[in-house]
Amino acid sequence: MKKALVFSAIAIAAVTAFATAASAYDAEWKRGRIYYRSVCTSCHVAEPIGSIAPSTRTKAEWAEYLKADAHAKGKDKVSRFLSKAYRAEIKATNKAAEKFADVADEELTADVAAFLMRGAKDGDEPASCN
Amino acid sequence: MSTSPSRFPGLAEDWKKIFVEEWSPFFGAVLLVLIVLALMTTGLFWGVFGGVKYWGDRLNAAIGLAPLLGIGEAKEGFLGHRMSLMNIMLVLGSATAALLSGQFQPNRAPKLEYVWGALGGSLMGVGASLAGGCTTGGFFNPVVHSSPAGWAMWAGLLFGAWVGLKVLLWTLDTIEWGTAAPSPIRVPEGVKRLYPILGLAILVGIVAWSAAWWASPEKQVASRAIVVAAGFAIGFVMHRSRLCFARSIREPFMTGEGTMTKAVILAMAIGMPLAALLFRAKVIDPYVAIPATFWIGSLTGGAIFGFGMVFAGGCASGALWRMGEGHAKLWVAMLFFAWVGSIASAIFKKIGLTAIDETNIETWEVTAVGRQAFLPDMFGGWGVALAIGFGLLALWYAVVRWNETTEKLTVL
Repeated sequence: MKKALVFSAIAIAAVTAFATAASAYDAEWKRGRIYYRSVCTSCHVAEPIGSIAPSTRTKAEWAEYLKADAHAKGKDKVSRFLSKAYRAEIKATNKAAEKFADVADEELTADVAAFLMRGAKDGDEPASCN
Repeated sequence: MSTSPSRFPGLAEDWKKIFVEEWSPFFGAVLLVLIVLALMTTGLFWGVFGGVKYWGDRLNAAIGLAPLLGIGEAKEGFLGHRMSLMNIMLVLGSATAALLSGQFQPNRAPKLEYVWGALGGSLMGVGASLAGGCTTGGFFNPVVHSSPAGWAMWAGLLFGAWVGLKVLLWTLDTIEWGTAAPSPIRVPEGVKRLYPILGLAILVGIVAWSAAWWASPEKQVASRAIVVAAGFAIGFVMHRSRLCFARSIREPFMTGEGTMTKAVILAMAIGMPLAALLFRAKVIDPYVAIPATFWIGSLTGGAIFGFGMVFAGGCASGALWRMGEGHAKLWVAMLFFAWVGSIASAIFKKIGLTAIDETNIETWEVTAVGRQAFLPDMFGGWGVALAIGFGLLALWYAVVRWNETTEKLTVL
């Protein structure tokens, strides 16, 4: 029991030091998840192409996709669907778009990217669509 | 070990203390929570049922049930799936500890015990599917992550274990079939003498494996190196200290003895505030290890799991490390835990019980049996959250301590 207490004290000191030194990450993958599900997936399901699970691509493929900014084989831009303007267009019928109507484009793009990286085939939690 | 005590008395004594003699469960509990926290600093968390369910999914795929249950194709192999890898390493860690201590012993059980192993494992599969995890992912992790889901499962586990013990006692009085002990498996002395060397060889092999993956340019492979080391260490520590969550729940009802319970309480008392620091520093997101089952799924799943683990003879992590020690009954329990766990998870998801509500636009996940619940978000800060956590731990400790002297709660 004494050994355990000494160990506990060392553990507390070590984790405290680590937690203090650790840097915060900015993107909110959970917000990205909501947007991806409620806006991206819900629209894709209605279209002939069907839903696209994050786990169907690797992190590198998703990064490349976002960088290319080409939606529907270049007919459109991905960034358009993440923009405030698009959210304003659909917010009357889409709760997520309404909820995140005022979020900056760069922030929401980073959130969705964080979710895709996390849910990618080689991500921390490969995510499929239910 | 062949090291001569006369030539290296100090080393031989240290070897005995570290690798042969049983560690204090309190020491084991502290080491376990340190490994869990170390994992969290890398963005990972300890889980067992996810890996067990993956094994069951593969079994169902092999026997042709997967399409019927809607189980998809595996994206990763047994060593690629994070929790499957961690479980395999846990068994290996325990087996290594058992070999090094000379306590490895293939162990056959009476026939009836296999029936109880199958029944208990199956119920554990159903319970874990409802609770979103076993005693690790449904109870220990959520409590450390300040989620009330862990406490709801705890209540269910206590109730289930109490009922399970009552029923098990009844079977002892009424069922005679299959109770005769089989002849023990005799391991030749020459082989037994090789145990420590074999254990040492596995230990060196694991270190080399982990180091090789760590050096990999592929990030995912490098992160699996941490899983290899952590899983192995968890198995080793659990075996050496005979740490067991099932015992911490069951023992006060069985004999009144509460040492294992107090060790688990200590682990959680250390883990909760330290994990809070990691969450506050955004080192890891608390929600990654909180199941969307608060409170119905956690409570009912806990009760079913608690009943099952009494018959199986161990919870998920406890079954894994006892498998590494050589207990055939726990292999049977694990087989059914995995198989039924996979079936139950698929069915519950299909009928909408545990399927994630995709229309929910909150940052927490919601299912028909509950939601992800994180106390600091529910109460607007850490003060109340930690007060609730420590209050419940104190209550548990007080009741167990009182029962140690009065035995009012024992069913024997």
